[in-house]
Parts: sequence; structure tokens; C-alpha cells
Amino acid sequence: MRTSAVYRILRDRNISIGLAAVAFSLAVSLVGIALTPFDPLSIRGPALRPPSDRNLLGTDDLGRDVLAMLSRGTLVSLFIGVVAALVTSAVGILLGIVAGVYGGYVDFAVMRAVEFLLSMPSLVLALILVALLRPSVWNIILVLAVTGWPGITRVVRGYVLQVMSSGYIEAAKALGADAKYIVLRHLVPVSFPVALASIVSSIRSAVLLEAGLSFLGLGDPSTVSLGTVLFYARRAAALASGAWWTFIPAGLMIATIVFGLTMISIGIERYSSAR
Amino acid sequence: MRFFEYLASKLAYVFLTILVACVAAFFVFRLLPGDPTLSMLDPRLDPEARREILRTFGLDRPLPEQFALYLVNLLRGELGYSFSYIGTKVTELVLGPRLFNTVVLMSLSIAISAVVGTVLGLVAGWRAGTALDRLLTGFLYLLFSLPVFWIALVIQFYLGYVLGVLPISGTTSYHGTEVDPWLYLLDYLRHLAAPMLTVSIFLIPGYYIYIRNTVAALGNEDFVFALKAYGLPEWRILRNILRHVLIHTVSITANYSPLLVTGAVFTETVFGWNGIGRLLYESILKSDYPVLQGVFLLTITVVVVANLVADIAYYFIDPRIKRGVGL
Repeated sequence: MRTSAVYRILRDRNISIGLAAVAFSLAVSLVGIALTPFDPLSIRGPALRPPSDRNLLGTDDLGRDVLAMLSRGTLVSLFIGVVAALVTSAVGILLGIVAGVYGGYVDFAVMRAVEFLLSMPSLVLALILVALLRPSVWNIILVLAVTGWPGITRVVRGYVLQVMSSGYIEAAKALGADAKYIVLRHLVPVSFPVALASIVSSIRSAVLLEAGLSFLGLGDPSTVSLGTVLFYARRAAALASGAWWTFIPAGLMIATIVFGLTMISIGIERYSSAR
Repeated sequence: MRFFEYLASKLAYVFLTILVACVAAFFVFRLLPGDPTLSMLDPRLDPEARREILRTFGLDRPLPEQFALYLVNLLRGELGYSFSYIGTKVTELVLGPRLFNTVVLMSLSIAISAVVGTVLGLVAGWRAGTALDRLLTGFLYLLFSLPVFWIALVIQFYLGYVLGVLPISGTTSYHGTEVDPWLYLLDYLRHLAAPMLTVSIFLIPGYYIYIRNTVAALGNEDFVFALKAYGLPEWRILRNILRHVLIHTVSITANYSPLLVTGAVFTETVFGWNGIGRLLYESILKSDYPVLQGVFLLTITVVVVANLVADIAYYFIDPRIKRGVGL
């Protein structure tokens, strides 16, 4: 029963393409790390050397190995994306359930906040928050969570409202279950799959937003993410010297990850609506 | 529902949102850590200098008093002075030529993307499942996955450096020199081309995906079958579908409208386009809180007004609202 469900999900064209794309980027990153077993910020050759057998993806303006930075950067971007999405979905699901279960003023307040944040450009909010906080990996994750939860809350709240009037919740109430029991035992478990498509697409936005912040030089200065690689490329005016290898591979890597996540979330959405 | 009733309910929401936003704009900037004086002077200087600055900007007063002063000033349209452009009012920076440059860039880009995205989506959705649809949809999803700043870098690299057909950076090549207005306009448009292309490429997929899926779903609706059975020519059926689709085009545009003032942070930064997005970025680097606050309030105003305009547009496009059925 369980394996057949997994099998059906994997047979969905969008989901399999998406998983393949994410797996590909992960594989490139791991192979890249294996090929460059040294500090990615150390100097490995002359400045702006084109790709060769000495530096497979060339060097940047400071003589650092682009492949070394790219492969670590991919892992960092994925890590930030996934952790941010987990925090975001925890907050989003919780608030969605609270709004759906308690209704009234609580619901009104949560939903106005949701509408407000959804209509604001998340980039502007993220930029202002990053400006006020110190740039670090955890602050970036916090900012991503603050801008990302409303989408999930809206989906979960809608579902909770629908489920609250269904038979099994009525039955639980009739058996004397309190609100806490219903939330923990029934609503939290059902909300996760319902929100799964939004959670995957929140990883997508987190990866993109983190890359953007790092590209502007507002990322964690002590780690290299894919956005940081592009930030270095631009700062060094690598474009003017024709050094395409400093920014083309990193951009394609972001695109591969984001494309994969987009496909997975479309597939999940279709799968759950077809069910 | 009568129009004025409808309008009044929407206006009430507008005022509530703006009020909440003004309060939020005050407390977010006051309560989060960060010392604005650090960006203005060397911390090793005499602490008296720091106190002097705090006094000048009224930052030494108690919080409730600052808040009252802030509200009174807001009502007078006064947003204070920039921390980094010493002696320049925030309103001058935010509502000046930068706003003009950004609105020019964004409104043209949004218009281009709305037309291109809607037309492509209509074509692909009407032919859903064909090779053409698969090809277009796959390609547009690929575009949808590209970070906008990378699109900007690639366009700048290719058109600016490799081909050398467009200026690489800036809003104009003439700085303070007298020049024939036509030449100036031509130069401005040449600088506009690359950022406009970037933003359009970034926005087209959003329109396309939504419109394509809507049209593909409409293809199975009873009314389309009825029209087909009636023997109506294809373009007449498409005209009917277009009426449905335009509602979505308007609502996507309304969703994009906050971008009208701040949507081009990356594009403006890469191309050195002198707009609000770049001002926002520079203010962050310089911890220029009054300007950040000004940009934030401007963004919210635009969001709210755009939603109001969209709601009014729905009222006239969608007959269901007039009859009070709701969407």
C-alpha cells in the first residue's frame, strides 16, 4: 500500500523531473567538493584563469577556484533553503490551524496579517529586515521565515475550516476530545501533506531570496552561497574582462535547483488535487 | 451591490491598512537593534557628538513622544531628513526623479509582459497538450527558474560587452551637460532597453503560466462546448475566453503592482539605473533608516492603491460583483 503510493508519486512526470534536477545539482556539488579538497576561499592560481585542467571552472579575480566555491555554495544554498522552509512551515501550519480552529478575532488578526504580507513585495521586507539585523545564516533564515509563512497559513487555514465540520472531527468532539487533542492528533498530521506543495515552493523562494540577498552582499560574510559567488563575480567586474566562467555556472546551478523545486511542487499540487 | 457601497467597503480597508502600516513602520525601525549614528560618524569621536546627532533627529526623546511627533509629521507629509544625503529631505529623495525612472522602467516592463504573457498563454492554453504547448510551457518554466539578477548579468554581459550594442550602465550618458532634448530622450531609451528586457523576461512567465492553465481549464467548460456546437468560428470563441482571461490579467497585474516602485532592486543595481530600487539598496548599505522608512511607506501606499484600482476594475469587468454573487 505504502510502496504503491511512493511509486505513483515517483511516476508523476513533474515530480520525477524535479527530483532529478535537484539530485543532479547535489551530485555536481558533491563531485565538485571531492575534486577540490581545499579551502574554497584559498588562492589556487592566477586571477581570472579560464577553465582548464588546473582549475576546472577557472579562477575568479582573486585567483580562487570557482568550482570549489560553487560546490560548497550549492550545499549552503540548499541547506539554507531547506531549514528556512522547515521553520516557515512550522510557523505557517501552526498559525493556520490556530486561525482555523479559534476563528473570531484571532482568525481576523492572522488573516489580515497574511493578506498584508502577501501583498507586500517580500524582497523589500527581507531587505529592510536584513538591514536592521546583522547578516548571518540564522538571521537570513529568520527573515525568510518572516516573509514566507503567510502562503502556508492561508492554505492550511482553508483546509482546517473545511475539515472542522467533517465527520471525524465531530466524532472526536462527541467523544469529549478537547481542542488541544484535536489539534495535535488530527489537524497537525493532516495539515502537513496539504501544505506540502506550498512548503516545497517555500524552499524555492527561500533559495532564490537567499541568493538575491547574498548577491547584493547582504549574506553571511563567513559562508559562500551561490549568491555570494555571483556577488564576487559582479564586484570584480568579471563581466568586463569576459570571464563568463565566474557567473554562468553559478547561475545555471541556481536555475537547476529552482527549476527542480518548481516541478516538484507542481507535481505534488496536481497529485493532491487528483486524489 | 451598488458601486458606492462597494467602493466604501474597499476604502475602509485601505485606511485601516495604511494606518497599521504607519504604526508598523515606526516601531520596526525603533525597536530593532542598530545604531543610526554609527553610519554618520566614527564611533571613536567624542560621545558628545553622538548625543548632538541624537538630539538633532529627536532620537533622545521618550518613545511615545517620538511616536506622536512621527504621526503629526506624517499628516503634514513630513518624513524627516536622510541620514546619508545630509540636508536632503526623504520626500525629495523618494518622490523625485528616482520614482520617475523606476515607474518608467516598471510600467513599460509590466505592460510588455502582460501582453506577451497573456497572448502566449492564450495560444498555448487553447492548444493544450500539443507539441507547441509543451515546448512553450517547458521553456517558460525554465525562464521562471532564473534569478532576475542573473538574467540581468547575462544580458549586460551579452548585449553590453560581447556585442557592445547597448550602454552597460546608468540612466543617461549626459551628466549635467546641455543637450538637445531628442538626443537626451534617445540616450535615455537606449539605457532603458536592457533593464526593461530583463524585467520583462522575469515577469512574462508569471502571466503565461496562470493564463495558460486558466485557458486550458476553460477549454473543458460547458459554455465552450456549447459555443463550439453552435458552430461559432474559433476566433469568436477565443474572444469569449479572452473576456474571462482579462480578469486574471488584471489581477496578476494588481499583484505585480507593488513592483512598480520597488520591483527592480536587482535590475536597477546591476544596470546602475537611478531608481527607487537602487535607492533602497544604497540606503541599506548606509543604514539610512529615514529613507528606508520612506521607501517602505511608499511601497505600501502603492500596494493599497493598486489593489483598490484592481477592485474597481473587477467591478466593471466582472458582472458577478454587481449582482452581489462575489467571486
